[in-house]
Amino acid sequence: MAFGSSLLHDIAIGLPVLLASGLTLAALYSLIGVGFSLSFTLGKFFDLSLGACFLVGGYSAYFFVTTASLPFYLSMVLGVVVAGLSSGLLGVGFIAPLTRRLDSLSLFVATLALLYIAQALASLAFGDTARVLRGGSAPMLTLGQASVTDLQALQFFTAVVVLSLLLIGLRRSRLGRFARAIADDANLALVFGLPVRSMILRAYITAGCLAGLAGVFYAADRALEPTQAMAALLAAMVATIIGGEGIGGAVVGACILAGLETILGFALPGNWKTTAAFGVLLIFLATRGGGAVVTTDRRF
Amino acid sequence: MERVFTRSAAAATTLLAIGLIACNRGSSGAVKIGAALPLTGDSAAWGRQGRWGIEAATNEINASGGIQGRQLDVVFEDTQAIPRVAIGAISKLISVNGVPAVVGDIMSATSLAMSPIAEEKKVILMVPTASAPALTNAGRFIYRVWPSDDVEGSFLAKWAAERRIRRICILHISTDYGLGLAEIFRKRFEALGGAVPSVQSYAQDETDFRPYLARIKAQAPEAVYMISYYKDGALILRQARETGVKAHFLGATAVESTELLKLAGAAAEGLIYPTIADFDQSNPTPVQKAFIDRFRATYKTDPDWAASHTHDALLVIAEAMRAGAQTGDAIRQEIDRRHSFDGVTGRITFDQNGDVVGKKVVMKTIKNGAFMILADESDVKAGK
Repeated sequence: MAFGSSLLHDIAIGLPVLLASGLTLAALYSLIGVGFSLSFTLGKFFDLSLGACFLVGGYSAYFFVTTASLPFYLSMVLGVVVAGLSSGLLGVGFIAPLTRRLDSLSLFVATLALLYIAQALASLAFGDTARVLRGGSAPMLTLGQASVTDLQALQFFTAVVVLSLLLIGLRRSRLGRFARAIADDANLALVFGLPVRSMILRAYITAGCLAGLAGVFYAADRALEPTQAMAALLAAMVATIIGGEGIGGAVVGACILAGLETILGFALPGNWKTTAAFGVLLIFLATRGGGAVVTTDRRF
Repeated sequence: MERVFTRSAAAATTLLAIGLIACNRGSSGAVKIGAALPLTGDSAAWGRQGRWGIEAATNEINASGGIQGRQLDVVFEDTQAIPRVAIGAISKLISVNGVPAVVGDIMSATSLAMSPIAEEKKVILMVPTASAPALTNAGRFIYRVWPSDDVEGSFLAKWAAERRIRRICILHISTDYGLGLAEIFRKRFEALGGAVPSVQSYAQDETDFRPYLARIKAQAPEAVYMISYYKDGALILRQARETGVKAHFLGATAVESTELLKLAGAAAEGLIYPTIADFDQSNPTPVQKAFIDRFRATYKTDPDWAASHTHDALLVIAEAMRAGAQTGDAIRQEIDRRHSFDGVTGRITFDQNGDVVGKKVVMKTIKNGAFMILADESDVKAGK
């Protein structure tokens, strides 16, 4: 009882920090999770090469800040641009040819290989030591009783804007209609003459940009190491499974997972946090195979 | 035909075996010793310093005649600071390279993982910096040149209690190192009348510490004892400032890395931590000064505690081998017979468990972006 009341007291005091932390984490997971969802919905495979884009975004921004001595925010934008270009190159030169020949499982393994290659290259180019875009504490913004860093606020609002624009584009544009048709039945869409392969490629590039954006924010707000892409991907994958297929599902799953990790990190020792998060994943798989948001009829 | 095949196979096997033995002894009959360090991964900064410390010691030994006229050759293996990788590393050093002794590791978890293998194969494991108390009873072939956490944890608890700091929250990494040190500190600090409102642990690869810091902020302690490595330590310090934690931060030896200063920037200012006082760059002995100068000339940077202790770990093994010991068992007997050695970290004296004794602890701090002595403290022995 004393422990419970003490915990509630601590939560009440720590709530602003927890909210800021949870929303930032949800934004990060949402960006990668939506990328996963896009490539899975259209390409029908879990694309682990998004981890390569995550690393390219983060390390490019680091290169622009440190070696090229460019301004901080400009370096972040350039990091996303480089990640987008890289995902385009990977898409055209690697994913597109492979989708013609390989099944989903083989594609999954091939993209895993890409991720490991990217990790090794990042390690060779930048070393294994953690890299940050900006040393020291970030400037603070005060919102009522809560204080957040400029990066937390930027991360959250950028994710909201980018994902909203993506959703609107997918629902209202011609390409969005194509994407929905392909997601429903790719073979039928092909029969009707829709550009299935180019749409899959577009989805791949968009997903790469989202992962690159997440990588830039990760390097700016925390610290980037070559091996961290896998951890971020895994969390986003779990979020996608919890939420269900589709952009809405990925965002809802990201919010659930981020909320759980934040509140459990507050209340429980670190290792229990991960255990509890994966426990929730198992519960979702056992009870709601389609995820928290049922989106089989409308993925976007 | 069958006999021809059998003879050919036997000849090939013999040649391979001879080749393997030749490889292990080196083409020029070099004496081989193994080193298992985190050369990649998130502890690579220490592994790099450790490797340089060993290379510096190797150069000194070879320049002064090697080991009984033979050159010393150190075979490096990467542990990545991951226990299962460390097991593979020491197994390879013993079974493929045939080394009688291994220097390693920087981290406690990997050192503890390697120790049963070294013990079983009767190969010396000379641990340079790992400090988990469990290493004390890890076996007869396990030695270390860095004191157990009993020394550091007890010292900090006493130091804090003497300064009337009454409430300290503990935030520690969930490894053998963090778990052991947190428990030692908590018990000692509470025995001295202090209170520990919370003990929180985090996984080694975590990067968002704000939920833990929110809890600490709510508990409003006078100080936070942060038992971390440099990367996580830097992020905790940064995020603590961002989340408005006002408490003073106390750290552990492992924070002393220039990487922490780069990552944390101004947020690291004022961090206070205890460390072993056997290698103080700001006030070096003549032996240490010569080592620092040579190190700087070769590697264009200063040696840290990892470099100085890996240097001495190799030196102890080499000294024993210079006396004629060639096998792990003979090296062990020679170390136990001599009992004490002199290195760049001063006199190294082992107790009956292979732990170094007689090392002093000092409090250090970070001021103006540099590590410096806070105050000279008296010798504190474990359990006293």
